[in-house]
Amino acid sequence: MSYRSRFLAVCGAGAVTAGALLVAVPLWLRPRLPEPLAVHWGPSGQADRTGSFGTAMALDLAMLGLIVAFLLYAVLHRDAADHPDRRRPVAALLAGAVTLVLAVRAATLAANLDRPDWRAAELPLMPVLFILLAVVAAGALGWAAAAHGPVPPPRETPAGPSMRLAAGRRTVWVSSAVNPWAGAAALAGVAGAAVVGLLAWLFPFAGLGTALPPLVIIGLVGAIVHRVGVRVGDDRVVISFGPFRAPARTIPLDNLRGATVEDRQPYQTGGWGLRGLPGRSTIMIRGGETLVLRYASGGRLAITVDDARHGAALINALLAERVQAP
Amino acid sequence: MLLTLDLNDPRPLHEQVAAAVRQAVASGVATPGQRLPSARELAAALGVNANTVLRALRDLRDEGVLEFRRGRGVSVLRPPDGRQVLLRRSRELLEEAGRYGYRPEDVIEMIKELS
Repeated sequence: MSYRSRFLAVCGAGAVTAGALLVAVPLWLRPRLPEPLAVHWGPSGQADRTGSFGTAMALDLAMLGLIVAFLLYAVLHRDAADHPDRRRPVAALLAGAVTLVLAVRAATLAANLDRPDWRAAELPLMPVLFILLAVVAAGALGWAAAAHGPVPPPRETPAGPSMRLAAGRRTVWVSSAVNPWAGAAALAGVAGAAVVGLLAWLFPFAGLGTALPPLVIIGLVGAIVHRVGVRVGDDRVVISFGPFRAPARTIPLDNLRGATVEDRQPYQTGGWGLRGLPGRSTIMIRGGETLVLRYASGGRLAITVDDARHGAALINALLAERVQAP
Repeated sequence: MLLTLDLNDPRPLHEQVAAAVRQAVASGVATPGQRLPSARELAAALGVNANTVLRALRDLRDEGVLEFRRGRGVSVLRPPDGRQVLLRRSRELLEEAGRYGYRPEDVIEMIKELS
């Protein structure tokens, strides 16, 4: 039995168990439950929405079906079982999602149990915290469990461009990419926040203050993703965001094994911004030339940036130099 | 933009930075119309003061290599004059030849041999 089949079998057994629990336990408890059930609670712990027993069960099974569909898609279509860097997040996500469905149903049943009417069902804060803890713990367990398993032989890194470095010279590469739309959004956000802030200050009774946080967030996020800068030099690669070069991320060359150039479009990565899971992510500012950093640990980070060919060449040349003169 | 500084260059730093940018433009690494990274970014990458980079960029603007535009930053205007570049390189070559004990006439002979 291949590892993939075993992975599917274990996950499938988990899903079937979860499904059996979601059907059997509510049916067993049904005589002690009110109809309709309280299914949603306000911040105070008071029930504020109801649903029928059948709807609740159908919803649970639909969620489980979605989770199983994701499992099948990830394993069969995206080879998630065969690569540790994909297997771990997928296992963590599946374990967390199944635990969430189970824990939410358990808390709902416990709150409704032996209540004469749904209005009497109360859900205090503590169980909610326990649910969140359980989800995080299950996710961590899934992550850890998936760490064991086959590691594919490291694929040959496609050789990127390189260059010759002269002795006694210090070569650096500086480049950036700009997204004018994000810049416009940032400007609009900041200008809107200024106008709304002024109006809210002038007319404090109008309740305009609530519009302020979203505008400030639009302004900030727009400013940060408006521009990405990359610089290569000495022993590190520094990636910085926004006009003030902060936040920034530094990657020591020790953590890299090469760099290549690709052409990437937003539709391939799923849109603009920071895309993908850690180890396979893309910083997509604009479509086109992309610098792909390959980590020594096997992952990669892609950054859309102008003049990526020279950047990749310098990284590869610096890495080659380090191998020759450790 | 790819820039190279000579670590043993005795000239003042701002001249070295200017030479690095000039070389990048002359060799076609940076093409006319291309925007340069900001002075602060160049300074951070090269490990020099931002004012040093600004001074180098202003020198290059006065040479006609770069163009400063309000709100659009610094961009490449045109490659440096070929004769100027060659003169500079020849001066460097003669200096290096001197360090090895060759006179300018020897260097001329070598160039004749090559061509």
